[in-house]
Amino acid sequence: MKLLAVLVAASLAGCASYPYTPAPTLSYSDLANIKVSSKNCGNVDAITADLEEQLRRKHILGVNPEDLSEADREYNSRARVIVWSLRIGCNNPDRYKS
Amino acid sequence: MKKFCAIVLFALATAAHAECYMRSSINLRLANTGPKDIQRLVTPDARGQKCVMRYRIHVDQDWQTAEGIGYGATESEACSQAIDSHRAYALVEIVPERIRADNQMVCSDLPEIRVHPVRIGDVIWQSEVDMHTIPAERKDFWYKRSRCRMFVERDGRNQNLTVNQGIICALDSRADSKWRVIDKY
Repeated sequence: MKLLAVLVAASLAGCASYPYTPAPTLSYSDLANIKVSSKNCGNVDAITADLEEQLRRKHILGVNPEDLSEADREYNSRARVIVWSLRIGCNNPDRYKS
Repeated sequence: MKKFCAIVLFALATAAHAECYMRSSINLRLANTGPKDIQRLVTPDARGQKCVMRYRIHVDQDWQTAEGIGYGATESEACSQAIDSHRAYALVEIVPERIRADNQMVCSDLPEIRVHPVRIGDVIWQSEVDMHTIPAERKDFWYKRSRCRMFVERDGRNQNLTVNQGIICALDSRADSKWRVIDKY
């Protein structure tokens, strides 16, 4: 029992040392100002995770556009365009070469 | 009970009828793509085998259904003739005023493929969604080891024309694979 109490205290102490700071919530204009390029290809997974977290907070991740309000549809569309631009462009570098 | 049976029989008779089309001779060299979503129907024939190949081709901005018929001693011989574009007929009208066509009515039990609204997770033929309006975005791409491509879907509800985009990925590496809608936005 004493050992358990020590472990819990230690884990709580660990949590206190590294407080979780949630990413800020982005507005549509924030999303519209995000520009991505091939320089972001090293961070595709992290950027995708951040954008999907934004959609999750609004409860619109993976929702079909016809089921969304106009504002949510535009927000979702902007986020998904960024995600797929990176996924497609970074994994298929010859795609847009003539 | 008799009335119920009569209704059921009528419903079955209605559902079982084959789809019919006008078959038009066209020049398939106008197509943007090769044959996609190929379906085949092979039956015995006096000459050996008869093969009907029905497939989808993208012409101008739209998918069209085409059909070719081949005859041969073997199935592969008959089907290789059937897929030959010189033997192809369109099963719908393509810009009729620009094409001199000989029309004839044909009927088939092969499942009909046409463009329709889809939802994330649906498994479809690739020609059930429109190709991207920008030609550069029509090319296949690779995502998580799957062959994928973008599509567009026009939504004209509420008197507002909205164009959604989406991503479909092939379920396997076969040329006639079906595709899954993995995103739409």
